[in-house]
Amino acid sequence: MNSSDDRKRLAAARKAARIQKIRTIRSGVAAAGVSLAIAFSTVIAERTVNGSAASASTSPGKSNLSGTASAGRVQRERLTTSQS
Amino acid sequence: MTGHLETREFAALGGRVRISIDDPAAAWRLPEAEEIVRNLHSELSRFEPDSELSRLNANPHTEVEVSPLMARFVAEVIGAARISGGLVDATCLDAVEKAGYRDSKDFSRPPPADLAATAWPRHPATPNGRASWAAVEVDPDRGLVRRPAGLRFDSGGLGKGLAADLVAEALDDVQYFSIDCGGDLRMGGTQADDTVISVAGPQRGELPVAELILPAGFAAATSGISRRSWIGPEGRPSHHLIDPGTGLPAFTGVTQTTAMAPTAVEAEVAAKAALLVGPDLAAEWLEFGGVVVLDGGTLIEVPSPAEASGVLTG
Repeated sequence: MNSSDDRKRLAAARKAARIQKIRTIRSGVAAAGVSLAIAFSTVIAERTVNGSAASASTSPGKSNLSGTASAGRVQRERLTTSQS
Repeated sequence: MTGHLETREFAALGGRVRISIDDPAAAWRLPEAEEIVRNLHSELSRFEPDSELSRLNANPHTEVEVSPLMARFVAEVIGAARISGGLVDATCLDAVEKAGYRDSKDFSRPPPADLAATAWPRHPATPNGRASWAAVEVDPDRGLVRRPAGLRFDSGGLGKGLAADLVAEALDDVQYFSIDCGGDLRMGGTQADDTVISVAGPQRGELPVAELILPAGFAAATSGISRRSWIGPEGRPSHHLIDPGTGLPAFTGVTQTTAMAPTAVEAEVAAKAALLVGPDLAAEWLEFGGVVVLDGGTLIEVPSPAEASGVLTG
């Protein structure tokens, strides 16, 4: 497969990942009791849990990661930001 | 990518610091980078009685000669307050100490109380009406700081962000570097790529709650009220993020925010401002993307402009 095909395949995979991962949610955020003045270029996304759009929540010992952000990426190291 | 990642990890700035270089020709510069952080710790810690910050805070004169590092820090303090309209105010040290954070604390143990369940009313933080920060001046060329007598600075998160930025400035010609200053991240280098980072959960020991794509050369910072928390003097849950308007720990309805930005100081300011303005406006501070965790555990992810653009164009 040539590099052009690689790029197309990667672009398709990224698009599919985004569609799975992100749901634009003015309504979802409002349902969570949040009214946001969203700038035109800003999209608020709610994490998709187990393949279905759901209101994400955090709980100790449970990860909400869908894993889509890291799909297809080679990581030099694992970096984690936390409360400083 | 050379695959020769060399790392140094050490205790500083109230937590763990980790610096990595992926460049065989530059790994020898790790000690230099570590020294930058250690020097900043020793000079900007308010818990070190001989630090330059402690001496400046105790100096009764309004005009004080300072080092280039202190001049840079004070300039960042002024910039943070200006950008945030006075919300991110590092001159609130009196209030931090009054809330119970006078001495260095061990935050490695679980927090003493469920802050999310505390009965304190939630409301957005506001700037301090006196705006003491606006009276602070710095002259970096002459190495002078002017501020009202008695006004004291808290290095806090801005100090961590500044440490990360100073290391990044020193290593910007290596192929790849990263620095983790107690949770504040900066990553870059001549061959750095966009990198997936994890966002730790609000509680210690909790698994990551989100992933973000950190653009090459960018920084990420997380601010929150659930880890540096304790029982205050009145027996109520307390923490270190002060509402400048009330002088009390801020309870805005937001537990934790993560912001990405071109520098670690900018990320620190954005994360703190997002938490302090509360749920309604938090996302507006995450110009380069980030995550907001509300008190009830609801997680709002704000994609970076690149991600948002990808979503919008399909």
